Order: sequence, then structure tokens, then C-alpha cells
Amino acid sequence: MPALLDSASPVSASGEGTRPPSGGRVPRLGLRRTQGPRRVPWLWIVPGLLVAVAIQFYPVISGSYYAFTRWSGVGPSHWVGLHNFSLIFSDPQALGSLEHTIELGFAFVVIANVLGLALAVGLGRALKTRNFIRALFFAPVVLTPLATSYIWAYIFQYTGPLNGFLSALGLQSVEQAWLGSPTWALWTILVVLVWQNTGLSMVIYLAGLQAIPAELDEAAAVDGASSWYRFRRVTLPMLLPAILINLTLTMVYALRVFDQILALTNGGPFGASDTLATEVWKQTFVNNNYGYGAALALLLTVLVLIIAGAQFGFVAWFNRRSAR
Amino acid sequence: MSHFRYTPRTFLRECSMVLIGLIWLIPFFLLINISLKPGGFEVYGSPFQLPSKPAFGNYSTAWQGSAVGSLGHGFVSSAIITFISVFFLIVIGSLTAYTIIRRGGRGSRILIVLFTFGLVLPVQLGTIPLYAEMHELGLIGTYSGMILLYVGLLMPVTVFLYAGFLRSLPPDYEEAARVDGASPLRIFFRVVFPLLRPATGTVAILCGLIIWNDFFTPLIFLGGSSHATLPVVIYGLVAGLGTEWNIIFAAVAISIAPLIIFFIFAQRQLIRGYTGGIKA
Amino acid sequence: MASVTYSGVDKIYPDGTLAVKKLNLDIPDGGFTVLVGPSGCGKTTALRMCAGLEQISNGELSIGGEVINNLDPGKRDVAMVFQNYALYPHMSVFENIAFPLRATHVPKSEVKSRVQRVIELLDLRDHAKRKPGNLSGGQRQRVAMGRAIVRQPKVFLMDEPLSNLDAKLRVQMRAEISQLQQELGVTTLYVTHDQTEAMTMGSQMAVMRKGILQQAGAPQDIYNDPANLFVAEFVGSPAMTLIAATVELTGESPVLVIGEHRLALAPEAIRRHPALGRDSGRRVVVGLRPEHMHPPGASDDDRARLRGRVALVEPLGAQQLVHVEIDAEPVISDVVLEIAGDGDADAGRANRRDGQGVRAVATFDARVAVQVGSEIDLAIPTEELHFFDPDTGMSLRAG
Repeated sequence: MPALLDSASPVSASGEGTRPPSGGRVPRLGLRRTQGPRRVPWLWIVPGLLVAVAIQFYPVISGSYYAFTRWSGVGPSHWVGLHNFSLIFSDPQALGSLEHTIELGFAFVVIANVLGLALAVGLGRALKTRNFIRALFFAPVVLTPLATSYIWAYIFQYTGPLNGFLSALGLQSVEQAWLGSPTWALWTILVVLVWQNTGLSMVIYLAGLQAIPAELDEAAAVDGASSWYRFRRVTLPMLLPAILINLTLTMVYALRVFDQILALTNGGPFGASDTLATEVWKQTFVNNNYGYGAALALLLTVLVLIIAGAQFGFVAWFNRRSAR
Repeated sequence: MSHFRYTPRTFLRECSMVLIGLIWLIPFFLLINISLKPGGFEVYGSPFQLPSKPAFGNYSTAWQGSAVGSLGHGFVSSAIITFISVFFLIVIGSLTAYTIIRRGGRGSRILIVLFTFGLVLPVQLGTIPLYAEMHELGLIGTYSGMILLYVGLLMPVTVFLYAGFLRSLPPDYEEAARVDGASPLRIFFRVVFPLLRPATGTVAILCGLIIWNDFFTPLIFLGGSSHATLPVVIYGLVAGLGTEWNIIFAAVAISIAPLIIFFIFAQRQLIRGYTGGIKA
Repeated sequence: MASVTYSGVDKIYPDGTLAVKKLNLDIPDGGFTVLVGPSGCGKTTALRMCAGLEQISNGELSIGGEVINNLDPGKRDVAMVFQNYALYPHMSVFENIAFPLRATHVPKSEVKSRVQRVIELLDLRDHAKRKPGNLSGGQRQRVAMGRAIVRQPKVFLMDEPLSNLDAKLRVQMRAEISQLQQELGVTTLYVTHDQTEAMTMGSQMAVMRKGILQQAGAPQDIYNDPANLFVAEFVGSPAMTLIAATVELTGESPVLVIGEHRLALAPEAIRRHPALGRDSGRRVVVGLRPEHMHPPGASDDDRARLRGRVALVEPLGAQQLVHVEIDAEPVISDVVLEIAGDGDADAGRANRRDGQGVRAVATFDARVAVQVGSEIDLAIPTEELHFFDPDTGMSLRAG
């Protein structure tokens, strides 16, 4: 049954044969066009596309609109142009939350990646307890962040284990009211984030390390390179895909931190540990300043998009460069 | 790193890793230890000292919760919302990704960019008008509202995961089915979808975890209702418990217990799901 | 440049597997020794022990007289060419070759000149800036060699460097490597499973099986005088034909009984294998090399003859391979099966069809007319026969 003969392409008189279904171009696997009737109908994307647009894309656009209004959430909104934004940039509270968002973001990205890589390298191949330790570091990743944050709330208490430990070491002077200190409150959040999420970057680096053929390290060793030299010149460059994935994941995650802050400090003391995400929550759903909250949210969105865009751009530039 | 390394150095490395691992373990230890402490001054005593008499009653106290809600209700809500959302995500997402990948062409590329964009978009901005909208539609505090929300929010992730997998699936099976005269719908459900099982597993686990552990969205959309999910219930519970750490920790322990069990059984699948992109 | 000596070297894995057993091998300074054997015979393990990539369980390994058992791989001054080349995918050809020099902190100017020289030597000038992903198999192979050469080490170690190349390229590279080694004069230990490479390259061949060295010596000597059944069957292509036979001493001269055939043994054969002259009715394994089975020609004497039926003729240009089925008892031993199954006796057994006689493969000059299906009398120069003990597999040759 000549079912594969495309009815649309005629057999030429000289018998050269039909054009191949892909129109003569070498088809890229997976995106090869199917031809003829009974193709997969575009109609099928409607439910998925519809719900994504209705719940995510359209609200983002309308939210961006509301950022330029004053609104209480019910009833009509009033256009105020850039007023909300000038408020943001003149309000130390809002600016502080922006600052904290960026600080926390970068600090987390650096620590999670360096520590994650160090742990992955440390676990290596030869360790006997490897699987157990890997499970230990990875377990917090799947647990509810809000719930496990409470354990840390207990640890950071003034009368809690951390201070107790410091005092046992004779370091009473270092003891703090961690959660209530304007200087330290934000960094307690960092500690919690690191504990909860380093396991993920570690696991990704582990997979990246395993993807490197052992022969390369062996060849470098036989050629006289020290462990550090091998790591720097052979392992690290080949880890680039894993590094990029981790950078994106950690950055995007850190900028949106919310649960942990609500559990530990609620943004305090006096906004010392507020981030854009918690500010949005407070202004919109506690103070009913929907317009102002939307402006803050827009700021956060733009921030994330700039950083994510920069990362994608870097990856694209790097790929083009190394293909040369 | 290679098997030719001498063991003394490897032993040292192993010891330091175990040490760091033990530090990582401390919060878990504290969780269980404090949760079993009987009420009163002992809760505030030395955190590392074992309880004089394990107070298992803390767990039933925690379970009953408060006027805000009980853990049981939280579990039920979370379960209903998670499972149903994941179901719809799988069915709709796989179909959407399949259409995009198999149709190819410019429209397909635009859609993929769109969905990738949706991956990084923070949820806060859209939540504001969504809340107002859903309030008007009377969907606040309802299961269907939440499910609709999650299906929409996680559709980009789902499509992204399925699309990645589909790209490397050879079209041979579908072409064979087409030659046999099957309709596109039949081809999808009978041929393609079963082949998508690994991707479906990843989607179910990843999205399932995201939904189950989510706090921000249910806080806004289900806060205070009887349908509050587990994280929201815990938040309310803790607020009312002040510094009764033993009960608080019992509640936390109960809430993460199923996740721990899940982790023990599904660890490999989990890791594979998270690291799938490395081979790319 | 230095000699390499294995003294009683063992490799025992933690689970108890013995990969290399009491290896005693001496590779002279500037020599080219080929370690050859089927998969799993321990040759690669032996090589890696020399590189320092496998720990030595027992015995001593010395380079240039110095025992290096516990020396780090990087400090042994050996260079290794890996089977899959192990080229760094993110570095260009130049940087790949320069890597060992940079890793040992050779001054920049010297790096440049040395790498340039090697690139010229291996004809890689046009590809110097390319990355391995953009090179062909042969070019990658040369880069791997370049990385080893640039170091000017004491020893070259090569782990089946040609096995990933296509046939024609392999033949070409074989010659290039041999020539290169002669020019550079560096002591080389070369591992392969291909016995043609083993024969043509190298001044010394070492045949291994299941971790044990079977025989070491000049390739031609091993070919002419294999120490046991394994070496006899492994070396030489087409393989030696093995037949189960008995020697009878009744009558004036010893007679070799193969099936229905009785072949008079030349006195030379007895002289070389004195054990044959001792007991009558002794069972032996007879080995015939393909070039020692002649067509029934005009120059006949009363050479011994073996009758068979031509089953297949494979023309090879100047020669032809003639498969002759002889009514005689074949040799089924683990050794033979193992070689047939490339290291796996079970696979060899699976491939075997029972109930056959012996299938001998002879090489004739292409001009000889041979008809498939016809009966043929093969002339056998009995002084060229090889004899082996059927139980131990050892050669019965004296001396």
C-alpha cells in the first residue's frame, strides 16, 4: 500500500521519483515536518496555550498595566503614570528590599555553586559512604521550604543552639539576636537557603562530573599535571554546561525567596530582611495597595528577566565562540 | 577521583565529607529530638540532650491543629490539588508539547520561546490581577481555582520538559502507526504517550513537588479558607504556638514525613529528573 | 629513553580477580614491544600499570633500572596514547599538544617551538587551530601521538591506538608509527588485539592470555616456533589448522595417522620433536600453517598427502584461500574455542557446528586452478609440521 507516497508530490515522467517527504532538506530529528492529511492538528495546543496565556502571560501584561495605577483590588483603577516608581525609588523601605533581593541573590548563587561544586568534587568516585552522604545533602531539596525553615528559626533564637554552641566554644561575645539584628537577619535567610538547596547544585555538578570521560583526567595525570591544574584546565571547562544550568537555577530561585523570610523574620527587623517578593506580598495583600504592589512586582520581573536574559545571551555567545 | 589515587588521601577526604554531612544532619536531629520533648522548661533546655521521656503526645496535639485548621485537612487539600493538577498538566502538557514538536516550523519555534520565557517569569506580577479576577469569579478559596492556577503556572515547565524529551524521540513509531492507518489521536494515546513514560515520571515528580511545597500562591488564594494546603496550615499553626517548639516541630515532622518517605523510594528518579538536562 | 622491566608483576583486583599473573617481561631501551592477546588477557592492565593508572599488587616494575611501583603517573616520564585518544574537546590541536608542557611549567617560548616542531612532524599545520570535534579519526590519532611525542619521554605507551580507524587508515598509520618510533628511538610498549599489527610492528612480541604471558620474542620466531596451542592458533592469518592425530612407531619410520591417512614423518620432524619417537600410539595435536599445504604439483616426491574436498575458495588477488574439508578429528579445546570466540570460550562453542571433520585453510598461488567441490590431495611437507601435547597444549619441539 503506497501510503508513504505523498499525494501532493507527483512522480515525474522521467521517473526521477518523488521528492522526499521532508521537501529535500535533511530533516532535523524531532522537528521533521509530517506531511499530508492526518497531521497532528494545531488545534491540540489550544488547551495548553489557553491556560498558560490566561493564567500566566495575560496576567503579567495586565499586572504591568496596573503598575502604573493606583488600585485597591476592587473597583476601578486610576492611572498615575510613573508615580509608583518614583515612590519606590524614594522609599528607603522599598529600596532596601531591592538591595536585599540583589544581595541575597548574588550571595546565594556564589555560595550554592562553590559549595555545591566542592561537595560534588569531594564525593568523587571512590568514597564508600558516597550514596548515603549524597542523599543527606539532597534530602532538604525536596522538603517543604516553609516547614524546614522553622527548624532554623529555632536554631537562630537568642536562646537557641547556635548561641549555645558559640558560648560552649567560649565565644560569648559573638552571640547575637540573629533574627532580630538589622545586620544579621538577612544572612540567616542565606544560611537556610544554602542548607535547603546546595544539595541540588551538588547533584547537578555530580552529573556533570560523571559526564566527563575518566580518560581525560588520566591522560592529564600521565602528562604530569597536578590535581589542581587538571581541575582548572580539564574538569572545570568541561563542566560549563552544568555551571550554566546551576547559575540560572540558583539565580532565578534566589530572587524569588519568600517562604523562608515569612517563617524566620517576616521581613524584620524593620524591613532589614525584606526582599522584593515579600514587599509585594505586604503592599498588595496586607496594605491593599495593588497598584504599588504591582509596580514592585514589575521591578522584580524586570530584574529577573535582565539577569536571565544576560545568562542566555552569554550562553549563546559562548556557544558561537567555541564552535569556531 | 580516579581509582589510582592512594587511599590515605581518599580516607581523609571521606572523613571530611562525613563531618560536613553530620553538620547537615543537625537540623533533622534537632527536629526529632525537640519534637519529643515534654512541655515546659525541658523544651528550652539543652537542644542536644535527649528527652527524659519521649512525649509522643506532642504529635497528636500537633495533628489536631487549631481553629485555623488541622494537619489532616491540610494533607487532604494538598493531595487533592496536587494530584488533580499534575493529572491535567500531564495530559494537556504532553499533548501541547507533542503538537509543537511534531508540527515544527516557525510557529513551533515561537511557541517554544514563549514557553521558555514562562519558565523564568516570577509569579508575583501576574498574581495581582489574577487575584482580583478570581475574586470576582468566586474562585478564591476553591479547589478548582487553585487547580486552574497551577495548571496554568506550570504549563511552561511541563511543555519544556516534554518538548526536550520529544525532540530526541525518533518519529519512526508514529510513522509506522500512520502507515497502519491510525488517526493522530489514537497515535498519540496508544503509541506516543506510553513512550513518554520517563518524561511523564519527571513531570509528575517535579511539578508534584513544586505544587505540594508551594506556599506563596495558596497563602493568597486559599488563606483562611477550609481548603488551605499543608504549608498554609503550618504557617497558621506556628503563628498560634509561639515558642512551643516541641509541638511546632511535631507538626513540621508530620508534614515532611511523607516527603521523606517519598525521597527514600524515589531518590534515583528524582536525581535523574533534576539532572536530565546535563546530557544536552 | 630507558628500558622497561616487569619482574613478577601481579594485578589482583579487590574482588579477587587476577588480571595479570607473574609477568616477567623486559623491553630494551629503544625497543618496540607489542603486547598482544584476546580481550581480557591483561595486556591493557599491564600497560596501565606502567603508566601508573593501576596499582601493582605484587612484583616490581622498573623504568631505566629504577623501581617505579609507587611513583605518581605524572612523575614517571612516560607518555600514553589512549584508545579513544582522550583529546581535550575544549582545546585546539595546538593547545592539546602543548598541554603536557604547560602542565609541567615549561617556559612559554620553548613550548611554542616544541609544539610547532611536532605539528610539522605530524603534518598537522593546517589543523593547528581546530578543535578535536572538527577533526577526522586519523587526524585525532595524530594529535594524540603529538601530545605524547612533544614530551620527549622515556617511554611511549600505546593502548590500541589504531582500533578506531578504518582498515585502510590503519594500514597507513601502522607504517607511520613504526617509522616514527624508529626515528625517535623511544622505548615503546604497544598494546593491540590485532595480530597483524603485532607481527608487523615491533621488534618484540609478547602474547598474553588470561593474565599470563604465553611467549615473548621476535615476531617471526614466535610464528615459526609457537610455544603452545594458544600462540599457534592466535598468531598467523589465516590461522593454523589443528588436527588430532596419533603417531605410530611400528615399521621402519614413524607414521602420523590422521583419520584414514598415514603420513610418513620426515626424520627432520622427529629430530625437532624428540618426544614423538618415544611411545607408539601417542596422541598428538598436529598444526599446519596455510603455506605448508601445497597443491598436488608436478614437483612431487613421495611427500605425505592429505586428501580432502574443496569446500570454498576465497580469491585474494595474488593468492587464494582454499578451504578443504578433511575427514579427521578436529581439536576442541578451551584454548581453541576461546580464540574462536575472541576471548570467550562459550561464544566460540556457540559458533561451532558439530559433526564436522577438520576444515583446513591453505594458501595457494592464485594461478593454481581449484574447483569447489572437487577432491584434492594436499601435499604436506612433514618437516614443517607443528606438534603439540593434546593435554597440556605445549609444543613438543625440543630446545
